[in-house]
Amino acid sequence: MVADDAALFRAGIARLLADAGFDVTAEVGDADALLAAVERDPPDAVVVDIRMPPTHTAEGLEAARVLAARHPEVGVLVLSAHVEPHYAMRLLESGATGTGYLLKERVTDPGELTDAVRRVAAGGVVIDPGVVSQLVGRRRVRNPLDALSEREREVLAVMAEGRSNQAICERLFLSPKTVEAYVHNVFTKLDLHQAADANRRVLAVLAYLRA
Amino acid sequence: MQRLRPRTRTAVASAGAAAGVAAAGALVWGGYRVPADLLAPTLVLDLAVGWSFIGVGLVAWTRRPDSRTGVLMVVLGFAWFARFAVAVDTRTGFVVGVLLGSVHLSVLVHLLATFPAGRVQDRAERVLVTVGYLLSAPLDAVFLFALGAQRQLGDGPPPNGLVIAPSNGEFDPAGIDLAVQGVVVVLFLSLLGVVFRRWRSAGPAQRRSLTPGAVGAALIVVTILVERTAILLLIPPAVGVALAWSAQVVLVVWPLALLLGLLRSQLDRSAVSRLIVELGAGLPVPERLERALADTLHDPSLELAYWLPERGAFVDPAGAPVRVEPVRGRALTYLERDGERIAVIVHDPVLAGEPELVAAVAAGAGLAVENERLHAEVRSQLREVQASRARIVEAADGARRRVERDLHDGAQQRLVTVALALRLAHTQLDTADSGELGALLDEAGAELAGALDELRELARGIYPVLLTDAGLGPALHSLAERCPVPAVVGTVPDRRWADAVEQTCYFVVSEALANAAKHAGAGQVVVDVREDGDGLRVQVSDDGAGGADPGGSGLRGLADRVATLGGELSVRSPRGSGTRVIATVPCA
Repeated sequence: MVADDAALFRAGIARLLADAGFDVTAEVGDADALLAAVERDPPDAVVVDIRMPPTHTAEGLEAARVLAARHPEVGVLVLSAHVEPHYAMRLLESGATGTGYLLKERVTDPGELTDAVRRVAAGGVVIDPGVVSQLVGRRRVRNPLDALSEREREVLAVMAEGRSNQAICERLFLSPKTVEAYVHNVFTKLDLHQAADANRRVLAVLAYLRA
Repeated sequence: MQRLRPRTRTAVASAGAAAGVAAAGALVWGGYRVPADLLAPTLVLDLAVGWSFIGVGLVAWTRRPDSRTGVLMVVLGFAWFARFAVAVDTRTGFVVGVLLGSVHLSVLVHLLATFPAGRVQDRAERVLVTVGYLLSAPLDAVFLFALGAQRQLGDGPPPNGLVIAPSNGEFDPAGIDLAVQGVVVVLFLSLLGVVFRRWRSAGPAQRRSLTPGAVGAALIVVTILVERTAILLLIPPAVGVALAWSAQVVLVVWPLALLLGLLRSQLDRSAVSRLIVELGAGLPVPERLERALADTLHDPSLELAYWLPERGAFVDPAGAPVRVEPVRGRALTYLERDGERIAVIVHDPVLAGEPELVAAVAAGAGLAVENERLHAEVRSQLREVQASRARIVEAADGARRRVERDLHDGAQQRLVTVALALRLAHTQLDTADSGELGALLDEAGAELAGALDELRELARGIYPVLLTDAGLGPALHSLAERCPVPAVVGTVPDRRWADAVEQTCYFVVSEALANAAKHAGAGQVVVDVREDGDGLRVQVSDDGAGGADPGGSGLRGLADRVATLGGELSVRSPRGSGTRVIATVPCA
């Protein structure tokens, strides 16, 4: 299900997803229509533009919050033009399990879009690498990230994007045991507590990076 | 000089009358034979001169206690009569008469040199007055005691007709007399010079009070000079005597001229009442009060400047800032109301000698001055608003130009490249292999990604969407995250303010962070936002090089922005010790 007020863009997304083998059940132009469509026929995942009528600010986030409450099983991928960690965290804080924040321009790589939709549909978390790199790359006076090795920083960044340990293994070509050790190191060095689920783990990492 | 008490006045007046009578008595019954044809005119003229000085002097003393001229005139009158001691044919009379014989001339020099204040005010005056006094009693004492001068009758009635003859033949009286008279001539010439210089450098108000006395003084001095040079030039003694008589005639009238000069400003007390009436009528035109004061104080050069406490500066009636500082030839009188300074009058220095008049004018015009001050304040604010409006328009135009340039050189250029690459790919569809086509399309994709990045940053710079959507705290944190210099944002109160307030605070922080990164070479920036009474206080401090120019376009623009909300921007940036930008914005 795709929600975006720009018809051409919406059709483009729907087409990309259809080409990748997804069944696009509805295309709508605003948040209310999206909520109504989900009520009628809950999909596995929705792709929603953050900025829609009537105020053109953060309707997509609001819709995601409502969906997280009413239909926690529906994955929500918010597309945004803003590299703003604030929005990404707001989305995570709304409590949805399958949720993601992706920059619009990622749709130029169909693989990234379809991967993200699959992950949120499966209850995972997706945070755009641009948002993460801004947080990781932030200038700090006493940078606690300096205590991490380069590999550990890579693991931290990929973790912040919402990847599971299994995905980190695949991404960085590491064995599950090594990844587990790295993750453990990162959490210990940064004095973070291992969280129960993916959502909370990402949230903890992002909150740490923002502090 | 203290105010003259009526009892003192009566005592001095009685003493003056007695001194005149005693002088007349000395002349008539002193023991000398005075020719009958000279007795009457001598009596009449000498009594007239002495009493004129004492009487008019007392009036001047009473009416203008701030000037010593009145006292000097009284002293001169007594000195005038004291000369007649010499007419008493005893050794005591002779000694007293010789010692006091020319004191009146010394007092005259003192009076002329210091008129109208009656106080010595500079070096030239001090030299004149001192030499004047040395030439009278001290010199006569030398004659009397060191050279043993004795009395000898000359022509005419005493005291004029007295020649001091040597007791022995060791010195030539004519030679010494010649030398003394020469010094006297130089002294009086210098005196004329001083009086003329003062008159010439005086403003109109001062001239009003100087002229009558100066004209009389010039007459007297010229007469005395001719009289003295008559001895030097060996003019027949008869002519000299005639001149001495005419000098006395002038002397009778001169005190009145002095008094007139002294009282001219006093007469203007009535002008103060006219001023008040005039101020009550008519429309408040910026310079009207200034002109009314100038007319009242007879000083066309008078300027009025109003004090604006908030700006800590003086402005002219039109609201333009003016520098007020002591300048040679101008005097400053500060006007106060309820202990607070409200204005300053820049005026002719002579008015400084008439504090009562200025005080009367200030009291009379006080309310009008306060009223005008408020007008001047409004005009000044209006000027400032007009200036800042012009700067805001200019800044907006500048910002538009920058956006145009960024679009033109950045995203637009990239999009043209993409269009070209796509066109090229299209024409090569049939001929090129898929590898070449793929490279072209990749290039187009990379250009597009670059264009997107640039557009995103540009859009963010134009307006931060997070600010409207999420408020000041998240927007400032986002700013700090992007800042090339480590930036820490303290706790921002979690509430929303008016859009204008939030935007202004946001741009203050944004500009200050950009300055810290670009110019200050700072190692760390701390942003602090807190609610301060009814307002919001935003402070950005860095540890950089300092020396930021608050008049530079960036900070000036911020100050304008803050000022439009009625807030205030302060920039402290001592060289070498960081920069601190503080904006306080009312948001009640």
